[in-house]
Amino acid sequence: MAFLFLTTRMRLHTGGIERLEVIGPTVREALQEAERRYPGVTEDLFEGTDLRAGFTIAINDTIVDHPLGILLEPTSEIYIVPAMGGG
Amino acid sequence: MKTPEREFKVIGTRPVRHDGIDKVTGRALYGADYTLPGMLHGRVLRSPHAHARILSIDTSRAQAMPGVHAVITGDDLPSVPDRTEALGEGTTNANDLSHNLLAKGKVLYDGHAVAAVAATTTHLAEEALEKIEVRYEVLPPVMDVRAAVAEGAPLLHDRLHTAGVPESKPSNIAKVIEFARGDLDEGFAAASVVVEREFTTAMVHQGYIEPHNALAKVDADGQTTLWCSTQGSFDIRSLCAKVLQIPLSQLKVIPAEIGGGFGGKTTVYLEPLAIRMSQIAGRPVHMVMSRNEVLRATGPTSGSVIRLKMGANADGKIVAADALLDYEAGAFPGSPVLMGAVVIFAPYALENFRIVGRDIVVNRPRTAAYRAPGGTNAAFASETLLDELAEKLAMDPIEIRRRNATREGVQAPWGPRMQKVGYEELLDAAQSHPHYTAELPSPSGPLVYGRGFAGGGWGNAGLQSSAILSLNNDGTATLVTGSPDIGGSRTSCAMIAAEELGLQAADVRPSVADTDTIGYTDVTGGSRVTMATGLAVFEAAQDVKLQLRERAARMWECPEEGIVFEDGNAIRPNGESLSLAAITAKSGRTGGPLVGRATVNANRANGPSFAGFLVDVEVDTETGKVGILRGTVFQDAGRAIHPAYVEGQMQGGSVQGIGWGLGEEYIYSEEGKLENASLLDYRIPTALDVPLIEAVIIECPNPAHPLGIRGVGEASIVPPPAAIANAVAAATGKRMPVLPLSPPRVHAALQTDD
Repeated sequence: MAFLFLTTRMRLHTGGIERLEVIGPTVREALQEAERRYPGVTEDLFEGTDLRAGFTIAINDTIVDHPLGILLEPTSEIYIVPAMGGG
Repeated sequence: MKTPEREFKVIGTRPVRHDGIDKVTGRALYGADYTLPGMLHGRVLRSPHAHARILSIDTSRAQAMPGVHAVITGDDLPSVPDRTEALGEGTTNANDLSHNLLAKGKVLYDGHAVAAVAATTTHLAEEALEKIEVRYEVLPPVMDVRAAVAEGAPLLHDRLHTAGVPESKPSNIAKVIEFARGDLDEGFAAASVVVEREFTTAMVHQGYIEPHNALAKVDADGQTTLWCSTQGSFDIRSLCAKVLQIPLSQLKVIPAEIGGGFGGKTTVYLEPLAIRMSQIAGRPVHMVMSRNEVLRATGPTSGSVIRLKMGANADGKIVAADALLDYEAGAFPGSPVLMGAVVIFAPYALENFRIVGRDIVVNRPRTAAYRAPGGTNAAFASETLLDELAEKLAMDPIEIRRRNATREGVQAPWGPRMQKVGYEELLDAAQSHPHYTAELPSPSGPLVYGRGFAGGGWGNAGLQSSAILSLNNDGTATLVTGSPDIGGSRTSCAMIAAEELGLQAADVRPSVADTDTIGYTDVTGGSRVTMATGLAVFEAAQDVKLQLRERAARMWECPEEGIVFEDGNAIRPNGESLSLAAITAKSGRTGGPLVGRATVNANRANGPSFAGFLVDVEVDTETGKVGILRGTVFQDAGRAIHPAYVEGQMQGGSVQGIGWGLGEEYIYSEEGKLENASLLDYRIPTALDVPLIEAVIIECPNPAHPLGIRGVGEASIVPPPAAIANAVAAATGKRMPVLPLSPPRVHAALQTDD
């Protein structure tokens, strides 16, 4: 069972729950599963079927390129991270 | 990825930078130096009002002048989508960008561009500007975040709603973001001490010495070449193509040498105007800003108001932290409040916290990135309040930081877990440094003395880079990347290639290519070039090393298996070896040129860097003047490729932070006119204002990078204002939560009783 950590905005759809246990096995399927259980929870994340510009996903401690197809491990932690820049 | 321990021969040394001679002898070409046959000179007409409706613009008299070849207004730029999309370093609203280039409907700040002229001479262009008649209906300006969020505040944009807030009314609050975890009430209930303050920081400019410039040449077939001073030629290409609605393939951007950027040269101001006027005139158009224009109309960073409350238990453990960050976006949405929210508690492991950030439009220039955007404001609040907690607990200020320091496995406030970082090692280095226990001067007359420390962190932007590494047949190499070189990255990238190939740094000739010559490369920003473009160079070197093994096998007429490439030599299992030069000398007979290439998205290799600043100040209680007596900057570089350039980044960031802390601020009149738009009145510290800052490099290798590199360009600007404020508090007994700590402000604070 992997863990999906929710942003404060996503928590509006879960009654404040900060973390969901999800099966996956991919990140996309984990997010779809969360959406089935808590309708609207992922609506801000997607533009069509792609992640919206401005969001990235980290698995455990690493930001992942092309994250939606990543296969989750039983203890994987999924974090929604705003895209960050610098000067 | 775990970084293997290895001995380096080139990395960690201090070779002369490849572009050094040209720079110090004045031969290097900057954007203002370029000239082309038939070139016109462009100038911009700017708004004298902070907020006004444009009733009409009459350009007819200017257009009729002999020698004037193009006059444009906002109507001469194409309509573009009014939505935020991936563009440039992050996300951008192209419509806002276009509106900032040339105002449409309203002007939104003093200096907002209204029209532009291209003429045969600069003086003629300026004369033509005077003949453009603009009729304004002046509107009340909104000059800071407090005024912007007040009930009934004038709106800058009628259609701006607050992103992140369902069903909001039109507002000056463009966006609300939030990070939160745990239970704040429970946390504060467990606190032995609680402190709370409101902090204010001023809008400040990046202060690069070279003004913005652009030279555009549009050919009869529409093919366009642009020379400009930029931190990212590909980003400039994308932004220009978007606002002018031309294909990327039609535009070639050639980056000139750059006289500083610090984030402010990651967007466009003159470039699309020069292109548009060259399209109209059929001749090249050159534009160079004045200092006045740079300060009035290009990317300062946000002023801010931060409300912060923190509680700690008797052991110094932070048990709750609650922050509201209000950042000035300038005239269009896009302040760095998100990064402020990331940075404010980044160095610490917290269980109960809430960070709310608001992006607020005001009648000031559209903000642009500035070295660790948003981070310095945030750390000024958190690092001074943490100092106050330590004071109330009678605890050493570095010790309280150690007890809360983030480390591997800690969940960061913004989400993911931390990999190995070096903040604890940095605190150890600061506490054991002789500066920390050196005796301060005794008070003398009006002069009092104090010492302060503050920490802070910054990540790396990661992003995309490309590299091409070509071996010459004499055993030397040429390296092409797309990263404009601001802080010595040409040399650090050449050193990485040299290390991998067993060469000397001087054997590798690095160059920064235009957008037709190298693969896409993101901006020089976000502390990313040595980390990310360096990763591309590392991988290009691995690519060419595989080819060298293959060529050696051909020369030996043996299988490749068992051949390794080490220290510049291909080595067979039997001990026989061929040098790189011997292999390249025969490359024409073994398969042709040897060229390694790599493209990367380096997000996976990010490695946050933490910094700390230790400072001694002298406060003149009669005048309020604060002087810096001694400064020491500590930073985790992961792996210092060229230690002198790492030290240079650390010192440069520290001095910019000192300027932010002590003197720099945008000063506006009540009508919203910028009153200090020159470097005489906008006070950037010079060598006369600061002592030599000692730089102490800590190396905790970044486990996500094959060479252990962390980006080092930004973290050092985060702590200084907080460290200075802590030192001033130690000297005077007064906490001063408003930046800059300029003489009048400090003097006034010293007259109060609280």
